[in-house]
Amino acid sequence: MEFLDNLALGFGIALTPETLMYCFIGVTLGTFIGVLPGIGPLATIGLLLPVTFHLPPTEAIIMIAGLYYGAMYGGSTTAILLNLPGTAASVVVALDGHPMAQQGRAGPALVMTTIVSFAAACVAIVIIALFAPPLAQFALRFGSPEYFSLMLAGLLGAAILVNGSLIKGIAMVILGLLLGMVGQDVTSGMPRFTFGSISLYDGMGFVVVIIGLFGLAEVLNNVALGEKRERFVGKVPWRDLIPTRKDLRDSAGSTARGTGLGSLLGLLPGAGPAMSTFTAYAVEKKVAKDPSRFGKGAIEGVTAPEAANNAAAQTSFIPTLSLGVPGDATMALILGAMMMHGLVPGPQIVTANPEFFWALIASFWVGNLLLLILNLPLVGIWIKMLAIPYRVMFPAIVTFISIGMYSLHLEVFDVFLAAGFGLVGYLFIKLRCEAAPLLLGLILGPMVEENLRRSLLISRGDFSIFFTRPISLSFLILAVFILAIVLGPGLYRRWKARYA
Amino acid sequence: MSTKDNQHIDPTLDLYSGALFTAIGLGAMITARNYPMGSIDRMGPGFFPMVLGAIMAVLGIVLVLKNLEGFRQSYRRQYASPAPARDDSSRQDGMIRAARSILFVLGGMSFFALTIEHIGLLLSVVGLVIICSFAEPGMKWRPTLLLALFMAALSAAIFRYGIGLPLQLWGS
Repeated sequence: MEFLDNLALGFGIALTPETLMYCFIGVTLGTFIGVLPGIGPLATIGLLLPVTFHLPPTEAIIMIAGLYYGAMYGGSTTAILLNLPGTAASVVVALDGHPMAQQGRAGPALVMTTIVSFAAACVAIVIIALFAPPLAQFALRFGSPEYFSLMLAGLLGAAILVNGSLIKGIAMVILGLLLGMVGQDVTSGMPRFTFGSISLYDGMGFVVVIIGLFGLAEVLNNVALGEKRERFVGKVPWRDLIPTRKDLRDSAGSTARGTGLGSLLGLLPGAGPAMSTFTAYAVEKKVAKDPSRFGKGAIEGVTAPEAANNAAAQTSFIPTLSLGVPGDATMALILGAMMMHGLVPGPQIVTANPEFFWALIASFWVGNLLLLILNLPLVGIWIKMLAIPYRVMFPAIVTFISIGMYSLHLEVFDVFLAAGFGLVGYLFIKLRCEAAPLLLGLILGPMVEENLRRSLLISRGDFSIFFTRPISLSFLILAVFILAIVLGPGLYRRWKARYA
Repeated sequence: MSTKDNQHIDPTLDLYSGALFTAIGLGAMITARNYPMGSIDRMGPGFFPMVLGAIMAVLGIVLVLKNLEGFRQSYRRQYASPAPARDDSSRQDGMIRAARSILFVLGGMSFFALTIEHIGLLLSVVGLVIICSFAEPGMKWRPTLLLALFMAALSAAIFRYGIGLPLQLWGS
């Protein structure tokens, strides 16, 4: 039983008092900073990275990983309570988590996210232990056409996420892809859509766009709504913090599906947690008996993406570590931190540095357990945030957003950019254009273009390259299937009305 | 983002969205013309944005055409029938509130952005909070000032001393 030996090796290191302490420090600091509105995991890790410099490599990476889930969890908390998501993943959690909070069910939402994260972590660790070595080999067979087809399927999946018109969903994805083009073109080095501004050469900060489109737009909308805004102000008795038996029952299936999807999608290089949360949400909406509940506080809409997020966050360490392809910006930062500590990612890292690899995997599980212990008592305190009157709350939120954006690169420009995207996001709210699909386009934009270019370079301009390679073809079939699920019922009805 | 009550989306909104998408798509195409297109097997930096802009513009036009009829009907309903005066004034009220919200919240952020590197974190945050507070009608000075001072102290405690960001408290 090789995988048990591996896990034993990992836990042997992860459970030493010293490592445990760094994991605990990471998780705690991560939660407290991640809970501040406007500060996501990326900013949290960026801010606390210098603290880890003097630690030995394994401890340093474990502490950074602790910061990562701590901040991710803290981010889910603000996403649910204040509708201020700090990452693409928590954007999806907020879709139903925030309505739950508005109905006075923030307690169950927060408690369920903790439990579900831990459950997903338990499954993902087994999957990693069993499949990490062979999967690292499989992922190596991915070429540009495979990446492109995979992303196409992912983007379509994001487009069907919206309530209302599919055309709007696709248009928002394309807008995201276009925004992803801003900055220097990777291949030619030519600046695009920068409109002469040097500050845009590196592209638009992803966090800035998220905070503007979601956080600030929400503030603008709430202030404009005045007394009409939906806010839960009543008291929450302790008893109501606990999820009901129905919550647990409803969550079981969605957690399992989310965990499965997240574990699988996390393995795909470049896909990462963001794409898995979007997909998990779309799947839940399709599986549900009554899809209209989604967006209005369906617990499955919280637990499935949260489970997918955590499972994917773990399994995505396999492509990140073995291929050196990070799934999102946070992973890229962790990768950078590893290299700073002299750990070079590559297919050999699992075999060359087994104690590091398995200790990291084991610490994921330990970190999630610590989060569970740490956060259950804190849920009551976070809920109190809802009782603060809005006229006190929103200037505080805007303050945190402003300092948070400025602190990213100590650039005033980012504050203005966030303000601009706040205005755009408010316009989207008014036009009923949901901005969530835009984000996936923004993340994947440069990668989609890069892989399309490379594929067509290999095939000398022949598009059949996407259909003749089996892995690529199966992703394209998946994309067609996604479209068929959405368009099918409507077309059938129209056909019936006309001919029957 | 509120996703409620949008089972029946107003065709007017979809029409405006379509127009917006068309404009963005065309804008992207016009901008992308400045970048070399290359060929299909050697795509230049202009190729992908051009294709995306074109798809976006087409989707926008489709959205406009699809909702044109519905838009005409709702337009006729609104202006052909004797105008309900109350509805109009509450609509105008909403517009004023929205403008007020945008002006003061974004104004507060701009104040922060313009001053943070000159007058320091504390004063900058005080100004930000005060300007923001005007976004809600019926702003009172005393609680606002208290909140402003509290937020300035809290930001200094968290960001300067807690996290250790290199922020000047009083400016240079």
